[in-house]
Amino acid sequence: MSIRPSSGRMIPSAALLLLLLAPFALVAAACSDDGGSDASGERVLTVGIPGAPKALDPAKDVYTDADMWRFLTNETLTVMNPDGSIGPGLATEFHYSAGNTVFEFTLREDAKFSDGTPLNAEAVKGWFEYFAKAGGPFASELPIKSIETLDEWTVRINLSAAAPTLPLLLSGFNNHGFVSSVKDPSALAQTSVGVGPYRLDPSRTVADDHYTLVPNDNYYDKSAAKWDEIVMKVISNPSTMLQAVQAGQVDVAVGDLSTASAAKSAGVNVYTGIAGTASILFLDRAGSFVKPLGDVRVRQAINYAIDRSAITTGLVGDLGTPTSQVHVPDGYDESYADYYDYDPEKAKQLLAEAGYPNGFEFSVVNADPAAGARGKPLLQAVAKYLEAVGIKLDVVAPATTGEAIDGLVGKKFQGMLLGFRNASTVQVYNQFLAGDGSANFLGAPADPTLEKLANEASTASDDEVPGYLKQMLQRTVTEAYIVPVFTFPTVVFASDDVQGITNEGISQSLYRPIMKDWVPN
Amino acid sequence: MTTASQHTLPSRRRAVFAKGRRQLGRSTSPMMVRRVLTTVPLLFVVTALSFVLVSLTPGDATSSILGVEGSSPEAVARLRSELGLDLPIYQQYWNWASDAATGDFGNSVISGQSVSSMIDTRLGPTVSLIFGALLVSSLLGVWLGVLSAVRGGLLGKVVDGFALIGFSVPAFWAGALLIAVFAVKLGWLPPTGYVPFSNSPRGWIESLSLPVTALALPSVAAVSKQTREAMLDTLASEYIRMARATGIPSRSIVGRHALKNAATRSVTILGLQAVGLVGGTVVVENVFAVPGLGWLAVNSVVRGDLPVVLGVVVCFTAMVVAMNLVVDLSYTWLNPKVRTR
Repeated sequence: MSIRPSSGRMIPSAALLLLLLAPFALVAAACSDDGGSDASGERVLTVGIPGAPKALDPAKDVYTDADMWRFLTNETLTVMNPDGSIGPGLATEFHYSAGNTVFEFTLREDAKFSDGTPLNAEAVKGWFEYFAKAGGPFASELPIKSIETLDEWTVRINLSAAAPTLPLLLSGFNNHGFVSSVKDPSALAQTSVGVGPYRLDPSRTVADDHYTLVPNDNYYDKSAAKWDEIVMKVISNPSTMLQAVQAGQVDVAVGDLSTASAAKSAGVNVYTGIAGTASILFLDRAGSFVKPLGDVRVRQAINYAIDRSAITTGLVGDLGTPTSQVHVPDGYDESYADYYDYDPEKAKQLLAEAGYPNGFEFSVVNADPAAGARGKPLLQAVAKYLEAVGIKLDVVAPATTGEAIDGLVGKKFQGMLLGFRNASTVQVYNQFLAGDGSANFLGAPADPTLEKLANEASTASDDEVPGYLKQMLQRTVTEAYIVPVFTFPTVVFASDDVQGITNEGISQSLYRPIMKDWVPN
Repeated sequence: MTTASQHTLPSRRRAVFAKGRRQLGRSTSPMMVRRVLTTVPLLFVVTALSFVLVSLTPGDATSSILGVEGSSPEAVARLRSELGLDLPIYQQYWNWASDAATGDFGNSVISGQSVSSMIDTRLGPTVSLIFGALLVSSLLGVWLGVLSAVRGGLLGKVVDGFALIGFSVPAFWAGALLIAVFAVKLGWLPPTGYVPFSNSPRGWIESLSLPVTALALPSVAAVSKQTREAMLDTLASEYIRMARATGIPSRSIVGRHALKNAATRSVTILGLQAVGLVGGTVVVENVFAVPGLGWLAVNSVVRGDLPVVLGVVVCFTAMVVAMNLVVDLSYTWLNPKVRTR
């Protein structure tokens, strides 16, 4: 028998597979999407953001800190000043009349949208009408009865109910103020069409991955664009975000609590501003489901029972501040920040007075599963303190927000943990404490005093409103409708190539156009 | 001493080759037709199952769109009816399936973008990742396996140890470590992102290097270990000993005879790994911020964006079917005597 060698070809399996898999390579090469962040200009600012806007169209988007760059492409009608007061923006003058049911404002005459159409009364009227019909989460927030254009630059909004906070809402809150051209509404889904120093470049944008902004040639102030290009890069993994800053791939990054101390040790510039207040909101403040919660003494007892300092230090270290009051830009009273000290004896006394010396049981859901240390761990810490005064807290921590909302709509929980991010007194009242609040899941009736204050505030003059809001927030604290625990930060990492970033600015990243202050070093 | 191959006339070599190819053709055409036919019902089953599973999870797209503050009962009910989410499940699925059969995969419920365009932009990065990882796994894995089988000794133990590490290290940890060393410390490669080939071939390779390494680690381990075992078995067999006895050079024995016979096992394991790579891209794309299908899959499931979920499921299923087909075809090519159904 003779051995026959195999036929002449020598094909190692590796090369064979290479040949067979070549089609994949061709597919990958042929799949063309747009560019990444190649620097075509000289001064390129790359910003890492942890999430993308849900929709590019402001009328359809939610209001989250993913949108802090929306101010660059869409200037607002009014603008919040660093001290919290509201000043002119695209609307150079604005005022109320007729008991806050008529709001009139005059526009600047030299502004154009990035598509070249002029910003005038007609265009702004079109924007509000579009917003109300676009089906976004804030579509029916403004009680607009009708809109008139008094002349080419003046708009009058007739409201069906008094709404004294229009200036705040038109400064960016809940997206009403990010005026866009509605000449072609379908364009709003692909790009920005606003009045701003920059515009979105859709050819160099991949939704949910990166957004490229370039200077807007139609803007009225040509010197306002300090960068040739701004790229917002979405990096959802917090440790990768920090590494991207360290490697120089991004200049500024919106970081995360979990990586803040690692960033400091690595020598990265770290800025922190207040993002929100981690708090438990009592949904059942009327006691319809768990009777004890209807008694103010019980709610106050819960506030006294927890050691905010210890919880804050344990969960967020020096990046948070213990507080008894939700942090808001309107109505905040510094003296109420430590209204409830840690006093378990007083808590037990109050419980006994209310008739519950042996405690009771209720459940709280974590409404934000992505909250990390200020989510489930916070609830568990609070549960331990409540256990010491006899109250059993059922901690519910679903894996997704959808699941949490499902349970809330199904009236399964008497309280919820949330961050009150970018909140305002008005918003807190309207959404949670008013009888018809959109997030008043258990339908608890409004506190009559709060309601009265809210009504009076709605017809008050501009300088009287802050006083009413302050009273409203104070009452929220004394009536213990909320159990605030600590404020938590927005953390921003930056390289030395960018200057103009400040802690105060970061606190207001969603209220004001702070990114305009970021300039090349 | 002359080797046997020198006695084989070129014409006879061609005839042997042609015979093998005829056998290949005979067994593969019906197989391919069968494969294509079974893929269609497979797609139906997989998409229907995905539809049901996602619909069963609590919460749906309305909570993603409205958020906690906007979820008043009226708003939720209105949005659900607008989106058609209050229709019975089988009807929702039928609506989707009848459109999908004509190539219309619908629009994202959350952003309104067309599903086909969303998948189009994200297909390139994921396919690049998978192809790159397969390439690395096959070349490096086979090479390491062969080397350690032939040399043996310390190298063999190193390959075994490496296999253990490759299997146990999770991709996200490996990814973070790779970024820390090669992107942050040394600055050789970018830490995140993806540069399309059409933009810059060099950038494409650079942006893929670290993610592909993280993704391919367990596959390289698996392939090298399997190849080593298969080579050791083959090299110990009788016909190889006979071949050595007839004086055929060692390199020819290893590279041509033994490897071709051991390759079946390597290809099997590679095929299995390839399917696992599809799932691995989810983690790797998250760590390296690569805008691929894996990220899209997870995100759309969490948000309840059914049309996107189903589009991605169809894509992944097609990929897996294609990879299995390639593996089966290669069996027959490697050894024409093997017929797979």
